[in-house]
Amino acid sequence: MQSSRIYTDFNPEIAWIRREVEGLVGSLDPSVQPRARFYTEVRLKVIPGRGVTWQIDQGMGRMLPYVAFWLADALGLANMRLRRLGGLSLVLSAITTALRDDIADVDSANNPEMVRLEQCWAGSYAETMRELFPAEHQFRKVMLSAEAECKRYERWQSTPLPNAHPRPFSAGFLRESSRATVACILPPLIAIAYAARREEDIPRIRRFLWEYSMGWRISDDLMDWEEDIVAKEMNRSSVLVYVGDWVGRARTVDRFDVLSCFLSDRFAEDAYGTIIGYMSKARKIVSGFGSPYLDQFMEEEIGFQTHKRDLLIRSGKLTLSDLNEGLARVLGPVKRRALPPKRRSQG
Amino acid sequence: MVTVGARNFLVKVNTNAAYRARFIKDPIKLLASEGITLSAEDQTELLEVIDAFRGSLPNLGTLPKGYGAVISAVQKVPSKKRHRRGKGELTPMFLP
Repeated sequence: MQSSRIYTDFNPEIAWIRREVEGLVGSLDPSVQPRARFYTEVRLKVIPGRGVTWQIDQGMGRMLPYVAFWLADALGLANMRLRRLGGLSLVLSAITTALRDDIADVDSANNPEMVRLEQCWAGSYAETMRELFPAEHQFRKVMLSAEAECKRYERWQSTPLPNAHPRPFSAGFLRESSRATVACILPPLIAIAYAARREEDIPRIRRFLWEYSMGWRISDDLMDWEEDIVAKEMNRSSVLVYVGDWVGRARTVDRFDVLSCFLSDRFAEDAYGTIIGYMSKARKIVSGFGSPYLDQFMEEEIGFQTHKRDLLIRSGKLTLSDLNEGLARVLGPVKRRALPPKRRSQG
Repeated sequence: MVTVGARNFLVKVNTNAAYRARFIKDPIKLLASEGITLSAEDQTELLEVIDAFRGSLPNLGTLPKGYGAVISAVQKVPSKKRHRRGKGELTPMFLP
């Protein structure tokens, strides 16, 4: 829940991050400020904008930037400035990633403004991250690794999918489609582990993030499918690839194909069952930190997804039941008119 | 042309997502392909049923906007056709 203590305990940190981001936007060249405001106020909802209403489900968990504070707390990072820098670096990483994604989607040669903006945010991100690392070589290693992961993701995204069943809810597919998310979130979390002198916890952090991200990938695709359906290669949406496989048309699914699949219990069980499965693994991994914040976050996420699955199944049954009533009303006379083959041949 | 009974058709609509999608897109054409022909009056009523169905399809894209509330707000109201035909059907209506 948005009003849960796992969020409200960090209100001062959020206020600090907002001031920092506002300051960064204000320091940009005036020509790119409107676009910067779009990314910080609308696209990523960092700063409440004038006249912008955010539609956020109160039950949906918000990992960014809170996971930085939860992890810093779990690892005993007492330095408040470093904790805040951890949260800020997550926000800057998210803005940079969003811009990078959008640049990849459009012709960047025609959008030099977006490229300049991405470079500005990437510079601020790197600068903030550098402050968290005790040594330059650690910083370099983490940033280079994230860059390599981003490039690997971009290669995967630009390579056409094979026509044979790609199994979009499989670990293999979800690992590839989650790579950019992990590359966005993991570096600041590793930085926090270094800042807390807890490098030995990095493998656990990495495993937790991978499991969570693979579940979250499907959840995000479920919410964004209407945007993805008109995007190039359907944005590699796991949900749309699943629907395409189901209806037997790999790359040409339409709105009614998707909505029709949503009515099936099997779809709800497959999609949400996979989400809940990965999130349960993430919960188990993160429980090793003994953090009440991280534990509660995972509990709430699993509860939320379970609730959504049950709602979808209930809603599907109700909608089909109404359709059946309507069809029975219309098709009733057909039963009497359409003669079975046997009787027809006798006649 | 192979004719299937309305019951078999309903089973397919309920269990086969791809078939259901084809039906949602063009119900008259699909029924015709199954050998089921409808009178003009029944075709009109079928299109009304399908329009209502299309409008009530659960859409996960809008789930974060109070999906639970929408489901609990489903109202069962008697339709005019119910009284005309006397079959006891109820029409769903989603409140805004």
